Amino acid sequence: MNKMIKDFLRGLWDEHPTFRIMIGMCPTLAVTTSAINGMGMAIATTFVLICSSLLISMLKKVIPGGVRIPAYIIVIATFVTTVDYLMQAYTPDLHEALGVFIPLIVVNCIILGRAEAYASKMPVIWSAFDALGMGLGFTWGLTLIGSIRELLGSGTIFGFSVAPDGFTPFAILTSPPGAFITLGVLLALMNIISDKIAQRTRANQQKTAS
Amino acid sequence: MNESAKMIVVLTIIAMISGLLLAQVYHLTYDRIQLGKAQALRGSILAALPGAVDFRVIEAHPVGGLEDDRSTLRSKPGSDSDPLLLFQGLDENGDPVGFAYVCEGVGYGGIIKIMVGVNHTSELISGVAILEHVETPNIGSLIENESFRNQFVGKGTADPIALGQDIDRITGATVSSRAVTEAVNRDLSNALQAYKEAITNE
Amino acid sequence: MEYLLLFIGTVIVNNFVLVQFLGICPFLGVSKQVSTSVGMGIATTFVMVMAALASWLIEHFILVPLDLVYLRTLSFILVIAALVQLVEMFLHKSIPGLYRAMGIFLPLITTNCAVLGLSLNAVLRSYNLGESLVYGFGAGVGFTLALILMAGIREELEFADIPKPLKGAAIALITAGLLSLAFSGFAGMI
Repeated sequence: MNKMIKDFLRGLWDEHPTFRIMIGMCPTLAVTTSAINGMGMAIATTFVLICSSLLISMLKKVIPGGVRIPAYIIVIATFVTTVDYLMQAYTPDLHEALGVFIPLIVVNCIILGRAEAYASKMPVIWSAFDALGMGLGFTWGLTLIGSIRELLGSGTIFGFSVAPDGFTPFAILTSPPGAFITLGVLLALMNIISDKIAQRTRANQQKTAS
Repeated sequence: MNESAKMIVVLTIIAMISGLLLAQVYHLTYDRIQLGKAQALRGSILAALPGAVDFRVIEAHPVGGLEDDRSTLRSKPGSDSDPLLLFQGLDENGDPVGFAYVCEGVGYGGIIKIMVGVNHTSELISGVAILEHVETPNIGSLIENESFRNQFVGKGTADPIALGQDIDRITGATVSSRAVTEAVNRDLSNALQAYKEAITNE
Repeated sequence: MEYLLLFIGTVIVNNFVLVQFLGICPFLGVSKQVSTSVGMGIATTFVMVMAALASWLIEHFILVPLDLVYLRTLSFILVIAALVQLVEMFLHKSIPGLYRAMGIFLPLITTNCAVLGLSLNAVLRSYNLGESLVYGFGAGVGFTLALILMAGIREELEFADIPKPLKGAAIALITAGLLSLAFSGFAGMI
């Protein structure tokens, strides 16, 4: 049980898809012009990730090893197309804002990566938890990047104006170069935080040892 | 059963189930997607034609430059024999207010689709609505703002609409501003001519 | 002339990697050395042109006539995966030298979202066959260009004194941001 929780939490920090392993970068950079777009994209991806991890884990005995990659791709593409049509029907504005990046969830390395590395070997429930952890990690990552770019780039968060009067937005942050630079700076900050945490644990260990 | 036969069978079954599922999803969401699109189209037509409460579609013959234009102007892109779609706005009494047409410009991020409304009697632009765009948020996307779009109101075919003189460009978004202005300019007289021909033939 | 404009527009103005964020994973992963990025770029360009051709044929001879547009994403990605396999087998058999040079990159191309992205974009923009091919080639050249530029800069960065937290991916992303800024200067050229 403990191990399952550990596997679940891993996606949220230690093996965070965006800030640690750096996979699924295309949507991370492209659609995070606002908090809501980033979150919408991440939730759609999480949905596909959980569904396909569950199904692939269930089918792991049925699918012969030689054709497993094409089989995974079919499963993933089916869920992606389903999400695509559902979003087009029920959230047309978000669907339009995310555009071609919705069908491109198919080639998001997080999903195929989890299928190959985890779901194809582990029991169904474990796979679901692993997928949920990775999905939530992706969601907070994209929402954070989207919020920062929206806050500094347009002075709003989730569409609500929060900036004081006279604030001139740094419009560059919502443009393509801003995406790269925001993520680069965030990664550097993450490195500093991780270093601090590592130092503190080392100091604590030394204290308990002596 | 040998290994490769099993591979083919499993893959085929998965693909078939997937195809059947997707067909279901497609049919279940079809009506709602079409409804959403129709509402969006209706909204932009009525926005471009103040005073209109309803509209009807007119199939006109493409004139001049419109023929080469790859846009929703034609019901099916790619064949030249297809009619050009114009939207005639109608007021409460069912009298024509004007017509609207769709044109496209290439902006900073990609194609911008614009709905242009033209008044029936004055033959001047009565409104402009942006249907689709992928411009940068808060820079190019400001073409959606009323303050930019309303600059086109009252302009006509008499003299070309010039960016910088008739239309103030959006700061930092010259490309997007120019794309909209040029698209409106390019098709206005052709669309007007096509509309006149279509209503006299009716 | 129109084809030339489309080509330049795809390579520079709407560069796949730096402006449209397609193919970021290989862009950050394989851009450490100029020599490997040239190999990756050529392999990707080749697959992209083939994918543009294949997706155009599927769209116009299978999906639209049979009213199966909901299978677009599924069929395109499968065809790209098959295409990459075919290219791999063909190179392995007939041009082993080139295969040795490009071999390790080929499997990565299937999950390069620039390839699927270009196939889908070409259909959504209703390009004809000629335009699709030019678009595919332009996408590949643009990808290669971005990759080589980035690799050239990163080779120099090896010798630079970078603050510790910025080392690795962080400085690479900021570099990419500056490159993207430079490319945004081309906007409005066409």
